[in-house]
Parts: sequence; C-alpha cells; structure tokens
Amino acid sequence: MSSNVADILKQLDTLNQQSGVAVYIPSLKRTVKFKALNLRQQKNLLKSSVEETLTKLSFITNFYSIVQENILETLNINDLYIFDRIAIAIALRASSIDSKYTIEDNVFDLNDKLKEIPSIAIDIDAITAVVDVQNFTVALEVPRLGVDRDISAIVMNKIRSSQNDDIRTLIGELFVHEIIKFVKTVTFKTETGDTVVEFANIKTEDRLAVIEKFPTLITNQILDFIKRYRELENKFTGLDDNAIEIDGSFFTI
Amino acid sequence: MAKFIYTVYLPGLQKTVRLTELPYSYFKQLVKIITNDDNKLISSAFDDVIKQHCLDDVSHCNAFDKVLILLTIRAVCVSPVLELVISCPDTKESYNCNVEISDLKTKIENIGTLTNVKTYDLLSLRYDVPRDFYITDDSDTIQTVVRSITINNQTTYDVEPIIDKLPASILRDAKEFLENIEERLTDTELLVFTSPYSASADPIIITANIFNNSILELLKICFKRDLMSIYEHEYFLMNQFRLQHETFDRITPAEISIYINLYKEEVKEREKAEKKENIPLKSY
Repeated sequence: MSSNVADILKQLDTLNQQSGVAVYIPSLKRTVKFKALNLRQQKNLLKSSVEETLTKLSFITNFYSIVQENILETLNINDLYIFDRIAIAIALRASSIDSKYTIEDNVFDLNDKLKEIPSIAIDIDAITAVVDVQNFTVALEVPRLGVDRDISAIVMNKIRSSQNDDIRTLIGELFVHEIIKFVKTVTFKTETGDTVVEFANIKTEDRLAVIEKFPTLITNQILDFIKRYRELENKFTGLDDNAIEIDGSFFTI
Repeated sequence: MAKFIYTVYLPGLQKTVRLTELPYSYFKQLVKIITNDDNKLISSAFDDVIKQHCLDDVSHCNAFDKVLILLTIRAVCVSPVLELVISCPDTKESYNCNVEISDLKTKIENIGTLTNVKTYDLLSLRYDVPRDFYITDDSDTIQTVVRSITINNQTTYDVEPIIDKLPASILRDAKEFLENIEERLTDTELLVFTSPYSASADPIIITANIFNNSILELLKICFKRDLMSIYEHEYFLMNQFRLQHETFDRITPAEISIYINLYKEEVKEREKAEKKENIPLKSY
C-alpha cells in the first residue's frame, strides 16, 4: 500500500469519526454517537438481503458487527435491546444512505420517525414478564443485542448445514429459537428447593431441552409476551398504516 | 534509426499521446488470444498492446480513451477499413460491410467527457467511465466508476484499497452516475448493420455500453482475423522472398498487406504480358 493510500485511509477514519451520527437509544434514554455506514458495511447488508430464508438472521449478525464497529462511545452493546437496534438502523439509514424511504409508492421521511422515537413510552410490562405455571417460573425479557446475535448465528449455521430444506422444519427451528431468545431464567420448584437456570449461562442445546419440557400453557404465555413486545416494536417501525422492514433490504437504494 | 511515431488525441485525458507501430508478430499473438475467446485474457491483451505501444503515461485514462488508442493502432498498422462479412439473422445469407475506422473514432470522440466530480465535505470523488473493457457480473461497479479520491488536497488513483472505507452516502451519487452513463452509452450506436436480404430482420447494433461488454466485442471485431490466413501470409513471405522470421517483429500487418498486394500486382502484370506475347499474329 502506498503511503498516499495509507494516509488517505487514516484521514478517512478521522473524517468518519468527526462526522458521527447522534442516535437516540430508547433503552438508555439518551443519544450515542456512531460512525456513519461505509460502503463495505452497506454491501454486506445488501448481501444479507439476498440470502432469502436467512435474510433476517444474516441481517441480525451483520448489523451487530456494524453497531460494534461504529459506536463511538465505550458501551457494552450486549446490554442494548433489540428495539434499540431499530432506532440505530433507522438513524444510520437516514444519515448514511437516504432519509427518504418508499413503501408501495408512498415516500416517507425517516427523520420524522427519528424525531418521534424519543417520545415512545417503553412500558416495563412490554419488555419483561414472569410466567408462573405449575412448578415452573419463567422470567422473560426482550432479547438483548448479544443474545439475539448469538442465537441467530447458531440457527443460521444450523439451517445452512442442514440437508433438510423442508419449510416446516425450517419454520419449526426458527420458532423454537425465537422463544429461547425471550427466556431469561427458568426456575424449577421442587420440595427440596428451587433450581434456577440462567439461560445466558447454558448451551443452546440445553436451552432447547428445557423449553421442550414446558407445558403448552407456558409456551402460550411466552407467545403472548412476544406479541405484546411486537406491539411496542411496531411503534418504532410504524409509518402511518405501513411498517419499516428492518432487514438488509432496508439499506438498498 | 528514428522510430515511426504517430499520435492520437484522448478527450478523457485531454492530451495527445504518441504511439509506436504494432509489429506483425505482436498482432499474431493478439489474434491467437482473441481466437481463444477468454474475455478476461483478451481484455488484458488489449491493455498490454496499449502499454507496449504508447510512449506517454495513459495509466489514468478511461476505457474510451483506450479504445481510441487501439482504433488508431488498428487504422495505422492493420488497415484503416474494417471489412466485415455479416450473416443476415433471418435468411442466414452473407453480405459484406466496410466501416471506416475513422468514422468509429469520431463516434467515440463525440461521446465526450462524462467525468463528474462530487464533493462531500472534505472528501471529493471523481466519477468517470470505467477503465476496464471487461466488466464482469461480480465486478464492483461502484469501484469501476470512481476514478480518483481526494481528501484534504491529497489525491489517489489507487481506489481499490480505499473504496470500502468510503461513506455509504456516496452510493446515491455513484448509482446515479452509473445509471446516467449507462443510458447515454446504450443510446450511442457505434455499428449498425441492416440486412439487405430481409426488411423484417432486426438490425445488428453494437452500442458504446461498456457495462454489457459491447466495447470489448467491438475491439474483438476490429482485431479478429482468421488465424490460418496469418500463418499462410508468413509462410508465403518466408518462402517467396526468403524473409527471416525476425522480420515479422519489425513490420506491421499493413506493410505485409502492401508487400502481398505488390506481389499480386506484379504477378498480374506478368501474366498480362505473357498473354500478350502468346497471342498469335494474324496472317493476311
């Protein structure tokens, strides 16, 4: 690499840091500065949009790396929630690519959405819950970015390496892994005492084994919680009667 | 001995460059590569022709400047006329077409400069027609049109190691530039062949669209030859005039054609004279 190129790369880095984007992070209730997207990141996002069945999973892992790479503050991004990702994605799309976003011929200004995000109330019931059924107590929480990335990467590898392309199997895999993401702890109540299992501390296979033991009643309550959370999420993605699809395709122009 | 030098004006670079002659042996290698039909190798062979026969620095010129260099070499060292045999798409009958290389050059010159400079704060990018003739599906099309990058008054033409680090905000302009030039180049028809045998047959059109490799096809047409005829010429000249093989490193295909045509004329004259001598005298 010529010294000229090395010099220009260095200056570009400085420029990227100086022209950082201030993003309002809903869970922190404050803004955090991020570097704008670069062409490589944009290309990787586009690539994730063409991997059809893996679209969302590939986007999640890709975007996690972008958040980690572009954040200009010392902050553990694993503590952020998945709804924070929506705010970050919209802000980076608006500032790095285009603030105009089209859904079925309707053009929206993403800056309007960004102005609205700080006023979205985050009800604690929508992000945490406890399900108590029979001998089980299950603590639920909206996935953090780290959990979401880890589980998505596992299920993505599983699907990629699977010879079975049956759509029902695929949906089944996605479904159980989605449930795992929302489970924080499981407490088994026995006569001799309670056993608490922290999902963050056990392997995915063991998490799967645990949730397979759940009575249907628990699974249904987890699904209700996920549904409640989706309603909150819709407030971040909603544009009139439409919704922003936060995946790789969101970053195309 | 002073070398024969000729020139061509390059609108993209906005300067006149000096060219040397293309020897017959070099031309033969090029024809072999074209016959082999590997577009990647053909494209680099054309680049090599330019590198070996242009005396001035053209490392930053765009594909159309390079085409002008190659067409000039073609006109001076091979022939100023492109002789083609076209097959009618409907009837499959063949017809001949002659195209003046100078007309082709004029059409390319008329495309004009498509350069566009965009500034983003301290960063400035110069967009231009790609440098390569051969654009593959997996080519990074954005990279092909970013000619130089300037930041804080420092400019580099070595775009490849930097392109991925550029802010994604340039994408819109790059895409717009790409769409504009592609549209303009698709509308620029360089060769149009209309069949005399069928009114309903669609004309064969070669446009200046560099993104669908139309330009590479044009160059292939201009330099393509029947490889066997090249060997026949060599054999004939070595056999008839005892030319040494090294001679082909010094003379151009155009000069070979002149020698062969002179020989043909000579044979024709000789035959005419012999015919005259053999006419019996009339007796009265």
